[in-house]
Amino acid sequence: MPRDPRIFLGGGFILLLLLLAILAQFIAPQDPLAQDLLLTTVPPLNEPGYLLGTDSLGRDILSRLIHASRIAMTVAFAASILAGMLGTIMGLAAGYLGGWWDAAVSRLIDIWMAFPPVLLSILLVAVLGSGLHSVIAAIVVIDWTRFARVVRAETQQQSRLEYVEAATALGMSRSAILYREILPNVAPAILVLLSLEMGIAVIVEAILSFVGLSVSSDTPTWGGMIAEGRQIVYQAWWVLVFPLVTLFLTVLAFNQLGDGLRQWLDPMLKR
Amino acid sequence: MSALLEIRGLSANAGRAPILRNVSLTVEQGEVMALVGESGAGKTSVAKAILDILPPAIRVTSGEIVFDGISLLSLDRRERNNLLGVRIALIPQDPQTSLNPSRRIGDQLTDGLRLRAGLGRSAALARATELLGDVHIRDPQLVLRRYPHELSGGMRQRVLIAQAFSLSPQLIIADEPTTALDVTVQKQVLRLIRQLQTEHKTTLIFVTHDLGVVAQICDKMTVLYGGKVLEQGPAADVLAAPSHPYTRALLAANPRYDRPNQSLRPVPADVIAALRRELAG
Repeated sequence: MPRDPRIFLGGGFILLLLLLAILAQFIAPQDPLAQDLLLTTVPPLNEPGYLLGTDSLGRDILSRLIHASRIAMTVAFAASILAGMLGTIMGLAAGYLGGWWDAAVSRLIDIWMAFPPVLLSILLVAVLGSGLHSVIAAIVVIDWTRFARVVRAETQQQSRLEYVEAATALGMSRSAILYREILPNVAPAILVLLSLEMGIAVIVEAILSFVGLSVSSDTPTWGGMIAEGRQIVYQAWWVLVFPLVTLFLTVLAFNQLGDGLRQWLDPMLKR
Repeated sequence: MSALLEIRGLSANAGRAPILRNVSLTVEQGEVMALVGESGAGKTSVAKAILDILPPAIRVTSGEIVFDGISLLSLDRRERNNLLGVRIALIPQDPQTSLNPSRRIGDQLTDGLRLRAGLGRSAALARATELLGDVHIRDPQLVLRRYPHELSGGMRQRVLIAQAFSLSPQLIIADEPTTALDVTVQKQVLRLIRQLQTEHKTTLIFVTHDLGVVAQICDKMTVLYGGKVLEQGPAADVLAAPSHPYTRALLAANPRYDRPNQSLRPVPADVIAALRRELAG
């Protein structure tokens, strides 16, 4: 069992967010879209039922944050898992088959890495059209290389070990060796990357919704809330600060979980 | 008796460096053949050539390997995979690294039984339990649930031996199976391999640099140096009356526990020089 507090704190925070996202309509105190023009920019802890205050249209910030976590969590999990699957398949093939495959995948990764990722994602969403699916697709298309690079290197290293040679000498087919012998030894690295990638996906989604390229503006998102809050930060700081802090804590939690997992799963780093 | 494995004129290179030079040897059905030589002599390369697991840098340039009438070097991957593990198996050199560190012993031992022999999960586990019993592992049920790092080196080598024998292959290639073990365990493992070999009437190719091992369990021996066969024949004859000067020097170099005061004798320089000339010429 892991004893690292980073795994518990990071994982606990993510679990809490997931629960909030799933049960948003039961937990959120207000309707996140309901406007009340008599109660605009109410500061936090000022009006009962509006714990974190309201924005310029009188919408409850806490409820909006809770509902926005749905988009964040959907993107974090869907995009990371899909990017992880694509990258793992490419990395396994490149690392194990070598030769022509490896050359092709490695050059593809080199080319991919040469693009500035944020610019590329904005470009991609602009081409694909805005919406949740486009955001997920953009992250997958950009970030599969993170997985492919690491999985390729790990696979190469594992392929040289004698247990793979022994499995070959037992007449196991190449696909069986990849799936049964190599993948279990690469899996810890993939798990760590997944956790870190979720943090990145949350940021990318926030960036895209900040510039208005994510889901439509009537769905609350952290990035959209930050964009709205930025305009009135001198009159009502809380409209900007709460989504910022939520975003910050979420990414921090994913990263801490990833680092904790890395140390827990890597026998070389264990004391 | 008939030849189960015949290697004819096998040569292999790594770049320009010759690894094997025109190696020929014949192994009869049911026989134990030792491949003897110092490090770099090419004994492991011969073994790996038979299994087609030579490292990518080493290429076979000429020669033939015929197993039971099948020319091994001309098989495609699928045909070879059908043969390996089922009719030809390997006992690897290093028990520390030859088992997958992240899979349970039971999963690894049942792979061949399930994928190749087509047994169901419970039948394969039952058979694996028997196999571990055959290699004298106490409490096989428990060991099946263990990961490799939870077992000792000797235990792991026994697991690998059980795996090699699991599908009753006709030919087993043992690549220095005792090198990584300490001396007391070596003896038990040797005895075990010999016993299983006799029971299953398996043909065995035993790669080793330990002449004591050859004397104990081998019928025939092939002495290699620099990728070339120097001497071949019944093990007892070669050990009693070696005809090649290198073999003679090798035997003399073997430390003798019954003569503790005798100093170690390295292979004399003039023998090595003569060998170099022989290889170059």
